[in-house]
Amino acid sequence: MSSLLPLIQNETIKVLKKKRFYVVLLILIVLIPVFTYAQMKIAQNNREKFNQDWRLELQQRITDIQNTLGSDRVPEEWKKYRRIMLQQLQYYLDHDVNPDEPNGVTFTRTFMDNAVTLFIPLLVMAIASDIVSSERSTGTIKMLLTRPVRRWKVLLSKWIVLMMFTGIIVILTALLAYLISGMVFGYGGWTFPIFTGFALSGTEVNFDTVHIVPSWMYMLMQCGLIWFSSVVVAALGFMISVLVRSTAASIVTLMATLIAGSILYNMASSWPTAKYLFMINLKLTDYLAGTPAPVEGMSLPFSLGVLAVWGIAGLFVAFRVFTKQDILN
Amino acid sequence: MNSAAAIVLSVQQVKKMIGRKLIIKNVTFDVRAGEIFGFLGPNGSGKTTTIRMLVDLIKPTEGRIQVCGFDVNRDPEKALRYVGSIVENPEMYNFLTGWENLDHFARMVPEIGDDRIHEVVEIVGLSNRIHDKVKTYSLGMRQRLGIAQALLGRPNLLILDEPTNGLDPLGIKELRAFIRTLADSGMAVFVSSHLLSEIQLMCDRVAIISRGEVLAVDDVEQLLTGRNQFVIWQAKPEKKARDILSASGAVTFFNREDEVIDEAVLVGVPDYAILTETQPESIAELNRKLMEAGVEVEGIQRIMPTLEQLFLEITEGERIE
Amino acid sequence: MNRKSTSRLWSWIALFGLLSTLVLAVGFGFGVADILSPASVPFTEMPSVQTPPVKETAQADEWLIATIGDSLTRGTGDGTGEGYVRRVVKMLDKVQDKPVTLLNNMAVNGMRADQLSERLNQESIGYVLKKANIVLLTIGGNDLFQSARSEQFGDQSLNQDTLLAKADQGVVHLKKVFAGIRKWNPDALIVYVGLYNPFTDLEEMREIGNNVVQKWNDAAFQMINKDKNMIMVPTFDLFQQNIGMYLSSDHFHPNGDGYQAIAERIVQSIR
Repeated sequence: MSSLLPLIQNETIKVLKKKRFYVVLLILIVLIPVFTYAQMKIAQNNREKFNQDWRLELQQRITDIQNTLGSDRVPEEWKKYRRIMLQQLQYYLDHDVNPDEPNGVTFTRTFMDNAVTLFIPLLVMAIASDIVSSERSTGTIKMLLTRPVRRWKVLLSKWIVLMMFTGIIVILTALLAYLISGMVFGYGGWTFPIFTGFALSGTEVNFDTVHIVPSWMYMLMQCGLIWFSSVVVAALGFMISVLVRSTAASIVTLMATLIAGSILYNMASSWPTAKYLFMINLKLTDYLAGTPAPVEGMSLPFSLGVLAVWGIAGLFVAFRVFTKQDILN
Repeated sequence: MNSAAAIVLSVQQVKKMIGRKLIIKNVTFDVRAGEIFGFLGPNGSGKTTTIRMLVDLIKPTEGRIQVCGFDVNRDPEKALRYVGSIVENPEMYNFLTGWENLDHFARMVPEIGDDRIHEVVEIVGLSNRIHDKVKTYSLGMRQRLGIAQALLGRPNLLILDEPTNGLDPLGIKELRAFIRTLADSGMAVFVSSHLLSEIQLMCDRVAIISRGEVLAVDDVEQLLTGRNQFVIWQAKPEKKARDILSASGAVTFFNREDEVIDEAVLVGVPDYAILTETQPESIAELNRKLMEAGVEVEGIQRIMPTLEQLFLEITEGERIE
Repeated sequence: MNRKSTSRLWSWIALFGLLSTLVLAVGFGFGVADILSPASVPFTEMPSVQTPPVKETAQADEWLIATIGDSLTRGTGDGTGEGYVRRVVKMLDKVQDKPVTLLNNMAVNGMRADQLSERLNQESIGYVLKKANIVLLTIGGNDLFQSARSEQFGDQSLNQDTLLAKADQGVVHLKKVFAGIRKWNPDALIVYVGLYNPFTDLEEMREIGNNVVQKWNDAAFQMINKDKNMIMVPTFDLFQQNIGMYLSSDHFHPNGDGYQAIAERIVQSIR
């Protein structure tokens, strides 16, 4: 009975030596400065326009939203979303808290919120899509599976390593976003207050449960929720990696699903059944920020449930197929 | 051969259905310690499928495969402990060095340390390139590395699938000698090939497989002796020689157009040569008769039967019996 | 040896991966707990309303403009989107030595006087007004003509009596609006842009409209007249004969030229 640890060591070494992980790092190191620069330009613009006073800027944002609400051409869906945003921004203004305090922590928070549906899943996929399918496309699976080790153990070690790298990717994305944006915006803001707990009912926001969390705590919770989504994406990528021989095909399959999901996300309100799709439920951070869910009636337990079912089903299929399958080529 | 030696690999009435097609109809044979066992069959005969079943890459639909008494499919963790194998090409991780590859596979077997890796690298003679990336290796070096990983776990059974593929003649010769030393040390070696000559040169016993069925399992010597061989006679005058051979009753004549002999062999053979099939034992006698009759014998050439020919004979034999 | 560094690297990565996963799992737990039962997580506190102190910025060496009101201040109908507000700022910038800054344009389309007086209660609006030393506003058009516009010039709603009644109501709110602005900022110059009659080219509406608008403007003037730091910029006369030239295609809001004319008047009166 060989233990799992050497297998995990093997898989880790393979992921590292394949240099895919470094490509992920490189993507982060290239992309984050681009976003930082764009963000910096916006901040500069606003500061010039609004006499260095964020309150004026925020007030203008609120007024602008109020004006779009009056227009008949704006679709009802958007209005609902904006009404909620309006009330939240007004809440921030009334409590004299800048929701976009310019610092590395705010940038990281915003960046992570936007990264959860496509960017982080893409990075996770870069590892997941390859982890089994590459063994098959290069034929090394024959070497791997003719050892005196049970197949489920081989697959389990791969899954553990994939989980490990999923965690690393989420943490590194946040860390690099903070370190890089901090060079421009400063590294402060860890204790800056963030409001959370907006209870939404229709277009009304109930402020009774609103409370303050320090930025660092908010980010910890945010990254935790993003991690859960990423693990589910990893599980599905893992399954596809088992089912599909070619790495490219497995990346394309999952990317197409994710992109279709992000398009669907904006149209989901008119197709309520879409809420059972995993792609629609990836933005768990919405529940934290108080952003309305795309389909009426979605809640955190619902989304967690949907994601868990997809994830477990993915893993079940992966293990079932991998342990029973004949390796014909 | 010592037929009392322990049975290392036992394959009993194995069948395999893929989809609705019966790919392997009935395969049964044993491989004993210390012998080199040939597995002979043309491409597409089910050789590779059978080999994959031996190492648990494919589960047989019926039948039983045991290595050192452990069922390969039910108890792979124990059974595969005794097996080293190369299935088809020795595909290793290109992005790792040779050493890292061996280290990787060593970790999957308990109690294999660095010293054993050194040992096998020494055995296959890869010491000076072992820390280079595998993607820089030639086909021959990959074969060596493949053998190194197969030997890593000190197996009782070594399975090599077409091991001479991609090797130059010198390499093939070395490999044959190497496999012989392994067998002499008590290892059972299972070698598959589609070339009869290779099996003949290398193996002690052979199983012949065609269309998913083992047609014969026998000592290599046994298999080839007692069978007719092709003989090409170059003698002048041709007419007289043909009459004498014909009168002896020991030969059957062929024309070139019959295509029983490979074209490549007939290149450079003059037109007047006589193509026959005969028992090898009667060649000397026939030669003497020709000389006595004053026929000038310029050459007598024995041609190994091709695999196809052998199949034909074996299946014909079965039909007669 | 190369091999040793690899084996060390893998253990660091594995350790990092394990720690990351643990941290994230804790974060996930906190996140779920906090969403399901708010404020159940450590380090949270309940918020309190705070009003930011305003430094005395309204000095004479700088023009800080805040604008409030309805669609006219918003600039609806102007193809360039500038409205009179941006035009005023630009022109002032040219004729003045002092820097001119538009702090905020808090106008909202369709706003009536009663809604505006309500809006002026907001702390955040007050904050902007406190910072300004000039407040520009337009209000009243929607009080009088909102229903008329929506009913496509239906004769019913446009009879003189209903309009006059609406004016009477609206003027009460207008008074609250002026008081509301003054409450936040006792010193700023308040510039009220008077109403014009958008219907002077409609024969049956010309006279009625003129009467109602004039009544509104008179009432407004009476209020403004009591405060030496308030002025009223009339626009009634501007539009009386030029309606075809100054109105945009919706036949209610000014077009770019109309806004330009209004802006010029404002600049003339406050430069």
